Amino acid sequence: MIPKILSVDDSRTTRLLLARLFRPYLCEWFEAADGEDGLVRAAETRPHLIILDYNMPILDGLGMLHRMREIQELRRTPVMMLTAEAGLATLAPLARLGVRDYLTKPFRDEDLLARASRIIPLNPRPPETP
Amino acid sequence: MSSPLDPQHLNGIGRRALDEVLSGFLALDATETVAPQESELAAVTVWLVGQVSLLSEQRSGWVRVALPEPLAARAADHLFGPGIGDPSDLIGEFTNLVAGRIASGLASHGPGFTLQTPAVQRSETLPGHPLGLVRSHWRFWDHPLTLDILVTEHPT
Repeated sequence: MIPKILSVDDSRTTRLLLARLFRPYLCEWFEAADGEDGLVRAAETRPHLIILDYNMPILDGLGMLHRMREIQELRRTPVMMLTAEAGLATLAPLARLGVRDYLTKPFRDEDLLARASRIIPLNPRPPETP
Repeated sequence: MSSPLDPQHLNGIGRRALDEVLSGFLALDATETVAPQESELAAVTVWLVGQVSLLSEQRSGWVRVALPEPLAARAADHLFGPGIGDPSDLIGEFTNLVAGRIASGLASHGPGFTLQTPAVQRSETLPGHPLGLVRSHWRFWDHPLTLDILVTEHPT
């Protein structure tokens, strides 16, 4: 299985950082810039892991999680949350919504990869042949 | 024990936040400095100013980061290579991360804040200094950077 990963984050900077981080690994990479877009992309791609930002315009991470839990096909999709702050008020609702893991930004690359690898297989991408 | 809104205390929380985000996000070290000369600030033609509002039932405020646009462009190139990153988005996310750390620091003294999404503006001048603002000056790659924090208690 080649895992599909969806990054939902309004920051292009964070999406670029994450894409670069996962580039050496065999996976399909998808992106969305807010929760509404994320729901559409998730329904289209059926990812094996969603890396979801908390604080976004239009529909934030918490809103997207609520909506995902109402959609049969997305209800069990593993979600790893990225948050800018780690207060109890932020984290408590995430646990209730079944978020598999969370990381506070700025994350350490090795932490994020280690946690992602508990959810999906991360195998090195074979070198491209000319 | 000092009040969470004591300027020195706020400045300490801000200093730790900026240090952590600069080293963790941009892999850079910055030095806190005294306020730059007016002439140096006036020589900056365009500032990029990122701002994130903090809201809670008892308190509200904002965190603002301002730096010269060429410094933001250089930071984006440093992170992603020439022409790939977006300096405005980078400063928005940078401000968001600093604000998140500050909100976490303040949360140990009361209810947590909700962070609003970052706003980034271009400005020909460094933003003003309203009453109650805690401002610190920083320097990296020989450019100035300012961190502003304003947090006020709601009237009871």
